Amino acid sequence: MSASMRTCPTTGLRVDKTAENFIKIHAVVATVALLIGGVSALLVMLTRWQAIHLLDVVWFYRLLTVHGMNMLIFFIIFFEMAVLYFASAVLLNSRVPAPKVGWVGFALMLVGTLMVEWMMFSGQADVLFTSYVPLRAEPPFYLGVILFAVGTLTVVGHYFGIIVVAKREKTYTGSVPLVTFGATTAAIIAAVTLLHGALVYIPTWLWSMGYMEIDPQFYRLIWWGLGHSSQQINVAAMVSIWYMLAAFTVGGVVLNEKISRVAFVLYIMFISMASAHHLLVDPGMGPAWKIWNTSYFMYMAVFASMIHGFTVPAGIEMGQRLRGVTQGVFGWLRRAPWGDPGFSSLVFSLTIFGFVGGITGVTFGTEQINIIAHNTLRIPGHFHSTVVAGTALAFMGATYYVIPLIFRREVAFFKLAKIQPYLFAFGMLIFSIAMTFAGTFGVPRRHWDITFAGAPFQVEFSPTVDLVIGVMAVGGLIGILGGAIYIVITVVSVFFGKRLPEGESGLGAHGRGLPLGIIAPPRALTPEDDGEDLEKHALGTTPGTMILVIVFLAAFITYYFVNWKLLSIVWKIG
Amino acid sequence: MTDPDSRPPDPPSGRDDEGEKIPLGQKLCDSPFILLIACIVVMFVFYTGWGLWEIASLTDAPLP
Repeated sequence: MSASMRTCPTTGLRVDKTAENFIKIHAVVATVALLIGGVSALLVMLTRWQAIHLLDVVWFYRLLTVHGMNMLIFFIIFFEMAVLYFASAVLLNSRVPAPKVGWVGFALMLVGTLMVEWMMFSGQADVLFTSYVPLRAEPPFYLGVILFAVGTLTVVGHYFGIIVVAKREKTYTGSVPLVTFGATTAAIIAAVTLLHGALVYIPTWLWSMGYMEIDPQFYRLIWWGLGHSSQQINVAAMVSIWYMLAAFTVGGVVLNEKISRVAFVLYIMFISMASAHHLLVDPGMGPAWKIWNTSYFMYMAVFASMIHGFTVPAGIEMGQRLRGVTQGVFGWLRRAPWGDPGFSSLVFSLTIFGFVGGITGVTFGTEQINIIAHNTLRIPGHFHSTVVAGTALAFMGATYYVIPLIFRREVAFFKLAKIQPYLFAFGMLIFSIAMTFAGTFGVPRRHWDITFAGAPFQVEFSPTVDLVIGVMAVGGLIGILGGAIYIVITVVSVFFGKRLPEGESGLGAHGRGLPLGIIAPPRALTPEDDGEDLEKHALGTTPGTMILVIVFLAAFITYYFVNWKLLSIVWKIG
Repeated sequence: MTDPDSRPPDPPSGRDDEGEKIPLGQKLCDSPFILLIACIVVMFVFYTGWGLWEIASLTDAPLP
């Protein structure tokens, strides 16, 4: 074995130390971005809560820009680059073929991030996350974004290089593992996303220096090819992590790899077109383009999400049943390791992403319904349940395994780590639902003062709005507390955590800062565990999941119908 | 239950270790570059290209 490789005593995987360093550095920067985005989230939320209304108008929009860029771009993408290194070099037992390329990519990302941060905090880029033309930031802001995008594209290219080298050097046989296939999906979507980034930000940078003109409709079209597709990278990475955490924590099986892979391919082919739903009220685009992209194509991606939403819990249920947890319909859930933060994060991420984010997303992406949701708080209500309660929470759950497996340290304050996913998930669930309700009353998003004090017109919302926004703020505070605990645990663990002795697997190390999937990993299945002995329930071999699916579909139909009803009230005919 | 066919080998010959032919769909899925090209083509044709054509086809609004 090469001197640059070590064998993980827990998983038996050969880990390239260069890949390990890449994972560490990207994860650390991601956490710093999360801290910046989290602090700005607190201040922005305390401003939107009219009872407090903390920030003045300038700092509200400045910190809203900071919040969006750090959470939706820097935190998420730095973490995803760590996921790419893990899913390629580590899971494929491969070396990193061109470390310098990786470092150049990382350096570009970091320099771009620092430039953008400087421009935002110094008040030279109060243009929000979308930076819609003709809002103009100073040129270094756009250059920073371009450098970040080029750096990310370099790392994505590096990922493909690792995959090619692993295949050529036969470090694995057959197809890549499902988790790696999911990460490849994320990398492919990232490439398309970043091409749109280049296509929109290079001319915008030139425009900011006065060298050319930009059509706002062109900008919106291409920018959303970046802005929304970048969140689809999250979806693919998050689903990969679901499969990984299911395997780590309860020995979840993959019911049918072909089906799961086809679902990832559906993401590759169709998920980026969901960008079009941001343009559903734009006058420049015709109905055929809108409906083709947001209905026919987007529904293929929705179908893929519903496949994953079934196969992941069904795989958990089947994994539990094959290991003898066969009591009742929901015994596999009751006896699951709820004290393992990896498992609780997985379940909450999947549930909130599907039940809140998925249902609201598909509903708002319907052309007719979009008119009553567009630019209201319903939209951030939707994406806080997908990106925050879904993706970020899945990343948090993965972190509790990355710390011992990659950083080779115990998780600090482990008792706190056990409750962290509960706090974060509960808070963000309340926050997202309350935000969505407020939007249903017509409360606009991105608005400093919804009392419209000093405006030449009067806008009065239902008094219920005050209550709902109060609930939203309480949920947000709980969620931010959960996020703050995560950051403290991560920073203390990584920099000051107790080191795991070389060669120690963590097996049986009860009472220490290690998740249950490492202390007592699920029993490996044998050919005898073929499921032939399982009770044949009327709902199939995974009856618990089938019942959850029925509940999900009922909720979906109800919410969709209610929105058509709301539309009919707003827009009376005759 | 796990799919017994889930991880078949993928030698360049297009046949697995037991000599069975690898299905075309699996061969396509095993190539990230084919998937990348497919993703780029679909996105750029239906979202980006079509969208740009819609914008370019807009006539001036008959404003007073």
